[in-house]
Order: sequence, then C-alpha cells, then structure tokens
Amino acid sequence: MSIRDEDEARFNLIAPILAWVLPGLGHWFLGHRRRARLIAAGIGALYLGGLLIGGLGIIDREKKFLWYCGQVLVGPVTPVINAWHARHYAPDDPSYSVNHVYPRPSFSHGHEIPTLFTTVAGMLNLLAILDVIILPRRREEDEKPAGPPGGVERRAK
Amino acid sequence: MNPLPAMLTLAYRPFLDPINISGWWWWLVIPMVFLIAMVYKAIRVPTMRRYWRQVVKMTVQVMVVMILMCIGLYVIVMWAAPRYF
Repeated sequence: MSIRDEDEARFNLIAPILAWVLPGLGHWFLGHRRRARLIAAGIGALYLGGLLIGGLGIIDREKKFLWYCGQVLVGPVTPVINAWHARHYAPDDPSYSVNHVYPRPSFSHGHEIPTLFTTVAGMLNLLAILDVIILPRRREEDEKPAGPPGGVERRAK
Repeated sequence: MNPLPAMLTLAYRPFLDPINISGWWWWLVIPMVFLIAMVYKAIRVPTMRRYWRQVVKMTVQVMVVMILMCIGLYVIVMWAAPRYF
C-alpha cells in the first residue's frame, strides 16, 4: 500500500519550504523521521563530498549558471557559499595570495565530478521538495519496526 | 621568485583546495550511485521494510547497466567502427 492515500493527500505549504531550507526537514516536519534522516544523510553526503573534492570554487553563479541552478536546490547554503566565493576570487597574481584566503580553482575531472555531485544533490532535493507537497502526515504503521519477511499476514495463514 | 612550486606543496585545506582525483575519478561513480539510490528509495518506497535491500539492488542494477553500456561502446568504437566504417 502506498504511503499516499487519496483521501489523506493534501497540499502542504510549509513542508516544501522546510525541505529547501534543509534537506529532509520537510519529511521530518510531516513525521516521516526515518525518511528524513536518510534523505538528509544522502543529500548531505553528496553535497559535502562534492565540496570537499572540488572546494568551494565549484559553486559559481557567474561562470556556471546552469549548474548553479541545480546546486541552489540544496538550500540557502549555496547562495551563501556563492556570495562568499564572489568576494574571494583567486587573484591573477599569485604573489597577491599572501594572507588572502580563497578557494584554489579546480580543473578537469577534479572540477567536473564535484560539480556533478553537488548538482545531483540539488536535483534529489527537488524530488524531496516535490514529494512533501502532497505527502500526508505519518500514519502509525509507518513507525512500526519491520517484522520478519512476509510479515504477520503470512504467518496468520 | 615564482611562488607556484611552494603553493603546490601546501597542505590540503578542506573546502578551499581541490583534491587530485585524476587517477581514480571514475571510482566515485559507486558512492554517487549508492547515495542517489539511498535518497531515491527513501522518497519512493511505500514502506521502509527491506529499504537497504532495495537500495543495494538499485545500486547494483545501475552499475551493471553502466558496465554493459561501457562494453557495448567499447565494442562499437574499438572494433566495429574501424572494421565496417
């Protein structure tokens, strides 16, 4: 049985906003705590993994606008990073780098793969945002621990 | 004095310096596919029973299809195309 029942489905307004603010928060708000943890872990690992591999320089609204559109779906952290990056561009003259913090630019696969990671994270969060728009609040049976394979019905026969 | 050699030997600074993945970047497809399956299944499965089994199943399915596509493209590019075109 699907978690969506026609009579229970209703439009949520706050949950999608929360889902954009922090991945998984929309599901958490609706009571789907386990799903929320898994969504947050998956999207967070992709996003942080991309930033760790490529550095903050992979988020750049000016030079890579289409990729940025996907990255911004992860949440407000992306515009914040972009704003920081816009003020900390690598200077053309390396001697200027003394006491100046800026993300070193990445190239080739070291740039493409983390960009892909962060954009995929954003696209997955878009799925989560769309999901909570009509997701009903958690029912009691969703929280029950998983039984043996086959469940109670099979043993009752 | 050219500061470039000194810059290249600096310690890795998380979130500021990129990691050199030029030799093993394609291995990153495995964690990426796994994490995509993890989020996708967390959204799509009706119940959370057998969740991890479905995640592993989707990961393996995607990887197998990608490997088969690689083999197919290799055969076309390296064998069929030079011979017939």
